[in-house]
Amino acid sequence: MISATHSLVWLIITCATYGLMLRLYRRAHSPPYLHPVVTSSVLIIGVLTWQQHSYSDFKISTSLLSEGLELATVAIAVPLYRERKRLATIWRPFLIALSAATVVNLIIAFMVGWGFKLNHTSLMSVMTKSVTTPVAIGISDLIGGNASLVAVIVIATGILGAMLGPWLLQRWRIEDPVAIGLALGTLSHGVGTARAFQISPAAGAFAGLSMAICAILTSLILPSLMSALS
Amino acid sequence: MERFARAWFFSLGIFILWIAKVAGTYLATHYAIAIPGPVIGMLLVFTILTMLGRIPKALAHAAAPLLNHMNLLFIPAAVGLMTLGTLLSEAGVGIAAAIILSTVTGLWVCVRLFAHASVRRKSEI
Repeated sequence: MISATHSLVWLIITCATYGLMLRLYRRAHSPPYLHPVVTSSVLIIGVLTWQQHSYSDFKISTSLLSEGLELATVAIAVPLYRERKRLATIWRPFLIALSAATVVNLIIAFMVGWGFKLNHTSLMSVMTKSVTTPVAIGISDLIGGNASLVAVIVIATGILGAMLGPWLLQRWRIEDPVAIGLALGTLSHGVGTARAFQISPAAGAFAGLSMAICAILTSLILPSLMSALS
Repeated sequence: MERFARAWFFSLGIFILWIAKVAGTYLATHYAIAIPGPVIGMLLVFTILTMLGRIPKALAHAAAPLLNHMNLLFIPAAVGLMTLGTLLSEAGVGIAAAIILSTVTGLWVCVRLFAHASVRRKSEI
């Protein structure tokens, strides 16, 4: 059993580390390699290892944050409502691009993973990469992945998309906030959405919507796609 | 006084979001829908906002800090990396390659197709 004060200490450490790393990130004009999720996690892993504290205890101590993530998902409805007029005009190209990108994403992930001779569990875990964590774990139970590997793969995909995405989109001369949000939300779920909200509220709203639709779409097609491929 | 009002609106907003999440989770499990509870909750709140025609102050106050600091909420999952040392030393390269190639291709397909489909749509109108 872990005591309540002990839990509170880890929660405070996590929030304080995030606060400091966010300041650093902003002061350095948001370079991708200082993304606060990356820097904070590295520091916390260091502290946990140094203190010989187990991850499962840490996870229980910070469960309030996981609860907050679920509330943040619900809260995306607010910026989405503010963008309802724009949504009404672009929903068709939006859905076409989202579905095509989701399918291409799944097929490439499968081919590369298969080419690298990943075992079945790792390959199935990779397939859930672009779906928001709670859904990804649900899907991986259906197709035979490993839940903790899935959680890390999903976060890694999110961070990669949030770091590389805006840079790539800039090079491809994409300036439309709808397109930016669509790409970041579809390929890197919540972490991409968090990044999109830093670009503009509109980009964030469309990223949140894309994240939701991508999660729904993937949970509908992935189990049948996997039984067809293997 | 203003601080007190803000804290009150924030707490009320969090409570509304929580109710929506619980309702979403209930619907998902009760009707065996393959969509996560919070996503259903989001669609519920969106529907209610559309019916109301405005955003209640409490919701706006609760949503802003949650969405601005979403990154904080991902940290517990990212720290899970520390438990996967042996697995990643075996399969890490393959997993990383699959993640990078599919994400970059996916981003490209997404923005190209969206630009293309939007232009065609405009010329139709």
